[in-house]
Amino acid sequence: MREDAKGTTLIEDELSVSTATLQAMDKAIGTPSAGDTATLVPYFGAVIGGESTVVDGLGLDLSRALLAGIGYEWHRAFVPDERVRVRVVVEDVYTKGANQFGIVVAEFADLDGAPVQRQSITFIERGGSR
Amino acid sequence: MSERLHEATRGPVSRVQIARYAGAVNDFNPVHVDEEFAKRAGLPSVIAHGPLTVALALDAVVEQLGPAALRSAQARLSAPVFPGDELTVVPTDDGVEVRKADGTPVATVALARDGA
Repeated sequence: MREDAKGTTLIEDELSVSTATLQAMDKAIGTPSAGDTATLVPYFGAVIGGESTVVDGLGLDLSRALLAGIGYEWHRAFVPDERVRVRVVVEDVYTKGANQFGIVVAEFADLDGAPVQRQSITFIERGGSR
Repeated sequence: MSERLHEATRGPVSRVQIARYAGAVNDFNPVHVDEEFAKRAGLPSVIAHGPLTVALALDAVVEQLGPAALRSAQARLSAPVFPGDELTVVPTDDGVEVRKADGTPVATVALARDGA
C-alpha cells in the first residue's frame, strides 16, 4: 500500500443511482425488507471510476489485501434514479504491527450539495511490504 | 426511548446470492465467484463479499426498525462467510453481531439510530 496516497482524491464524479442497481441489490439480499435496505447500502467501491481505481489509487496488493471494515453515515436513503455527486478520497494509510491499513471514504451528495451518505471502507494488507 | 432489537437469522448464504451481489455492485473479484481461484488461494470455497454480510446484518435491523431509523453503522469484519453459512444477527449493547451457526463471529456492527 502506498503511504503517500493519504489525502489523495481518487474520483470526483456524478452518477445515477439507478432503479436497476437498487433492484439488483434488493434481489441479492433477498428478503421482504430488502427493498428498503437496498436504498441504504449500495456499495460503489468497485464501481466508481472502474474496478481498479481504488486498488491502483491505494497501491493495494490484492494477494495480501482484505476488507476489514465498512462504515455508513446516512443523511437519508438513496432515491431510485436520482443523480448524485461522489467524491472518493484516501482518508488514511497507516502501519500497525506487521500490517498496513488504508481507509477510503466515498461521500455522496445531491446535485445541490446536500449530503446523502458517507461510506468508509477499511482495507488491511497483511505483512510483507517494507 | 429506542426500540429493542431482537435476534434474527439470514441465509443460508448461497452461491447464487454471492453471484447476484457481485452483479449488483460490479465486484467480480474471483475470490467471490471462481471456485478454483478461491481454492488456489487456500480457501475451502468462494467467499461472500464483506459488504454483503454487512448488508444482511443491516437488513435484519431495517426489518425491525425501518430504513429511516438508522444514522450510522460501523462494521468490522472478522471472518469469511462461505456458501451454506447460516447467519444469526444478535443484538449487542451498541448494535449487532453476526455469527455463524457454530457461534463464530463474522462481523460486529456498531449502530447509531434516531433517538438512541
